Amino acid sequence: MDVNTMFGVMLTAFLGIVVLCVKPLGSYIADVMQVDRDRQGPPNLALRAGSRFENLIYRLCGIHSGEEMSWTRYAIALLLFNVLGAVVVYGLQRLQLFLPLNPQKFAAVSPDSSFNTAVSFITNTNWQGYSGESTMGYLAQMAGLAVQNFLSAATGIAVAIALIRGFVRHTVKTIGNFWVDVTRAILYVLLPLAVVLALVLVSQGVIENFAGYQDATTVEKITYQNPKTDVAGNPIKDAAGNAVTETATTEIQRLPMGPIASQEAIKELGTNGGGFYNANSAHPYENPTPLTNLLEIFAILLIPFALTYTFGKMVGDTRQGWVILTAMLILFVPLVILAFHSEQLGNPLIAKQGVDQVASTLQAGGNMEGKETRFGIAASSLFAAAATGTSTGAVNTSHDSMTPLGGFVPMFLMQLGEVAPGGVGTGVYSILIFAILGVFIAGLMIGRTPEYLGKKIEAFEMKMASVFILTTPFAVLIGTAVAVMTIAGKAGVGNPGAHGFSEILYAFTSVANNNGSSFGGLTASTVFYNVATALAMFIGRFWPIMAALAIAGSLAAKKRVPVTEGTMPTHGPLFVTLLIGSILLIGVLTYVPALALGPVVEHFMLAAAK
Amino acid sequence: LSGRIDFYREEFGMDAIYLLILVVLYGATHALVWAFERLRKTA
Repeated sequence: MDVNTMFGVMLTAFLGIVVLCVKPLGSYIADVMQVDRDRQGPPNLALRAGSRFENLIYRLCGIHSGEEMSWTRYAIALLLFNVLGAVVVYGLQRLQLFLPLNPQKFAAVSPDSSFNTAVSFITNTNWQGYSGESTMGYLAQMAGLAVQNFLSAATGIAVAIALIRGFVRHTVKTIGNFWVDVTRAILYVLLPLAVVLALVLVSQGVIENFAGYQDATTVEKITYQNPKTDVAGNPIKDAAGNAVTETATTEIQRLPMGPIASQEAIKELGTNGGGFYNANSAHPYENPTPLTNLLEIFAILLIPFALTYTFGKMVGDTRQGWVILTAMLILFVPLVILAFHSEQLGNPLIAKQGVDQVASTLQAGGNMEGKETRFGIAASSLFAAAATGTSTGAVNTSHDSMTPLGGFVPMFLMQLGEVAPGGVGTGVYSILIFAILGVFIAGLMIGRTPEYLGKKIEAFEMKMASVFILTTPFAVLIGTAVAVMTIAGKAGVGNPGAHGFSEILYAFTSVANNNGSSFGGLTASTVFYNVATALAMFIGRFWPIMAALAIAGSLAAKKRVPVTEGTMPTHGPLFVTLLIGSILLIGVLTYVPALALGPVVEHFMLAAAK
Repeated sequence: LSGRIDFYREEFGMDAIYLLILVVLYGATHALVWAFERLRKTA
């Protein structure tokens, strides 16, 4: 069996398993997230079993669980909850030297890095300008970052459910209770799945401990170039600005320990992506085997795809959910194939030098630069596409080392607006906004008032949909433009020319879309990038959410329009085409000029062997 | 310990600036909610 066939079999089997889980999990999520007033039938077993504990949480936090919120109250509660979370994460980093569970006695994280990380983790971005194992103590990692992994993912689910309620309800002013939605998303969805996955990961070799870092003696002495530092610990540079190094020899390797498995599980399930280690899922303690690699990809895709069924079930027509799922798969699968194909073809410049890049029984072939040999090209390409299509941002390979077209895939998946299949909750509410845009365009074409799921789509919804869709490209393109025009922005670029532009464009694409994956190459741990990317993350997360909740509030207040012969069906292939067309049209029109300056021109330069 | 506290004192100003940025971002987003609601009511 050749590599292409093997990849085809793997992809088909893998996505088949994910799709098989969509109905049971999606149905379960709909059951636990529906409040009493919307539910038809008795609560399910999980709700009955957990109701005592759930009610205890409400009592302790002073939450009136039966109280419904208008969209504005829902939005302010969400915003306040997340901003206060950022203050806590900021404080944990700045005060970690005085706090327990810091066996390495790491000093306080710098203010700009703490700010960036705090915003990064509350926004579900998990962009990491720092190196976890050499910066953060265990308390900051667990109580700060891992907790936010749960809370930010639950926030995404809450927004998705609130928007779905906008379609479900009619002539009411409320869209649910934010505190109840977040509590239930954590208690019944994220926490049980994370516990199971963490235990499975531990069984496969992912570590989970509070031990101090261990020193191991290497088999051979290692000689390496060590950067020289001055008395203040700053790197010494020569006249040309290059780091001055000295030759050093060691036979000791320091192995960072920590509570990895518990963070790894929610990192993937919550489509967060922030690794305990700087190497993220390429590190053998986070992702030790090909099996854990597939499990992690499965965990990344599971909830975003399942939420499509949740949507269908809650609106009372599961076909609506399958349509959304189909659109997501049609966007996702060709891009995975493109990434794999580009990487498997390899680099023509290396082939020109006589290097054999053809796959055989002795080697993977293709472009293996930046990839882990235990994963190979197929599983690395699938991971890269899954992590960027879902706003996860975890990496098991260096995206900077991918071929131009291979690197284009993760970037374009993010630029589509994180809808294929998007993050936990964010994917569904984002694609529903595109669905609203799609029915509006169709309505214009046939001269009828656009309707979606029995609700008229009018001027206000379109204004909010426009705000939703345009905010992220605004943050990406303005951020990139400022970075390429300023000395501070250009100082971080690791490579000249088109590739350097791709590094900046990728960074702002990643943060504004709340993905968080790093292309690599860009030195982003500077004050400029820490502040600029934090602003892009905050705006890219919360401004679209406010627009989505405004749409939810507006739709919930509307009357339901009866279905007539003139109503455009939204459960068939025509609507799938319309939806995909809307997403591609926006993505292509917005980003093609910028992409042409980066990966596209780089691809042609490579093809011309320059 | 006094050295550590001095270190924090030196950077306290920066802490205040970053927390202020967070407050400004909160305020801007809160204002957005208010603006969207006004827009909805006038639509």
